[in-house]
Amino acid sequence: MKGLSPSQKKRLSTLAAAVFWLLLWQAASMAIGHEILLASPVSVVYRLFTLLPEGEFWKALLFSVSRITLGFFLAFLSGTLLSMLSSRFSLMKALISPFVGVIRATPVASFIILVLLWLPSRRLSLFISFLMATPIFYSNVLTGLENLDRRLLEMAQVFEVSPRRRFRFLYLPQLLPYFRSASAIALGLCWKSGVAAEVIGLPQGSIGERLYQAKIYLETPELLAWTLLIILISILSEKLFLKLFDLIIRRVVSC
Amino acid sequence: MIQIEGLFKSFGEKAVLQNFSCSLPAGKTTCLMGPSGCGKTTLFRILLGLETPDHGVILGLEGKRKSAVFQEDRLCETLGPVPNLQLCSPGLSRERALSLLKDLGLEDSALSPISTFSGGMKRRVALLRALSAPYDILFLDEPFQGLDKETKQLTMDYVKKHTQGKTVFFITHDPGEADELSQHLILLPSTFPAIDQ
Repeated sequence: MKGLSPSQKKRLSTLAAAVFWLLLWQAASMAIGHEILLASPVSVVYRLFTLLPEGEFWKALLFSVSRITLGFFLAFLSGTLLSMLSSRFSLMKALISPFVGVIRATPVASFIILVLLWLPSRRLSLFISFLMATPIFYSNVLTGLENLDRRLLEMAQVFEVSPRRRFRFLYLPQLLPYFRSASAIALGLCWKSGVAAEVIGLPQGSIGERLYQAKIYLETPELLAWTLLIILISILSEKLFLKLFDLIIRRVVSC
Repeated sequence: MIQIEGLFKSFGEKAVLQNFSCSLPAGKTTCLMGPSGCGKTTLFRILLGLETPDHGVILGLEGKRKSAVFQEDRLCETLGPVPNLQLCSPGLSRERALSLLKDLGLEDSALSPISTFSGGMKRRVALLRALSAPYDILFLDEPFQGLDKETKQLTMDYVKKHTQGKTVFFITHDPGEADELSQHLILLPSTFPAIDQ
């Protein structure tokens, strides 16, 4: 490990941990000896690669990614708007906060079943990811708004800084870290809740439906291949979004 | 001329200003001195419109543009010094801002974020921001705190040169600073009323 930079050491230890768990998984699968009970990592990755050339695979991917991503962005907008209203009007905060608390405490499965009564299953993952992520944005952005540096706002008042410049130079730099952490949490939650909604609602041509079918036909390698894919997309979308976010932060808050 | 008449301000049970009256002559630097806790910063905040007095009137501030150096620097830490100056002076060009920074020895740090600046460097940026903003009255609350002897002298000379003939309200604890800059002195003892000299 000598001669390695701290970031290289960290990467190496992460890789070593991943290899350890993969080997353990492989060993457990071999010990059980039944692919139906626990498919090996090799057969899961192999199944994933055999799915790639299928047109239906890409259609399912597009179906779920588009709806869950849209749900995330709608939650971003609605959470931000509600937090702004709550920060400005105490009555709005008194009204919205319990509602947000109820959404947070209610099991996602209850919402999924309830929403199935109101909406067609094709829109379920969009609505559920939106519903689950909205409180995350609401709480984080509201905390950011409540922790704004009042002394800087007073300074802007004395110097009669225009609202546009206040937004860019005072509000954005202080609020962006709250948006960033909310986005990181919300993206993972959107994927978990969105796919859970699809598994229950079974919209045709979705990742959730493919997961459910794999379970019905005891296709454990395919079930785990879809799960692996969901994890990969979730991590990738989070990394991509946060990279984009950091790029915007650097441009907005440049020297 | 700014006329302050019969100003009262309390925070809960604590009376900070009681029947305070004074005048700030136009085109001159008025220095306010007094012990800690006698109400200097409260008066400063009232004049800036950040606090409302319980009673009393202030005449001559209506429609006037204000600029200020607060007791704290109140800079945007993630931004560099140039955007900090431009934030309060929308018409200020980058070249002009760089030239101002050079005047107070900050040219080498022009591209660094304020968060990396020392206390003295931040203070000089806060002063340049106040001086470069368009204003009719300049308010300074202990503007030279945190500066070493040499930088303080350079900065005081700079402030003196750039505030000639302007209306300035200046709070300090340091009699040396008051001697150097003020043309009109108000002593605010812990008991009122103020002594206008």
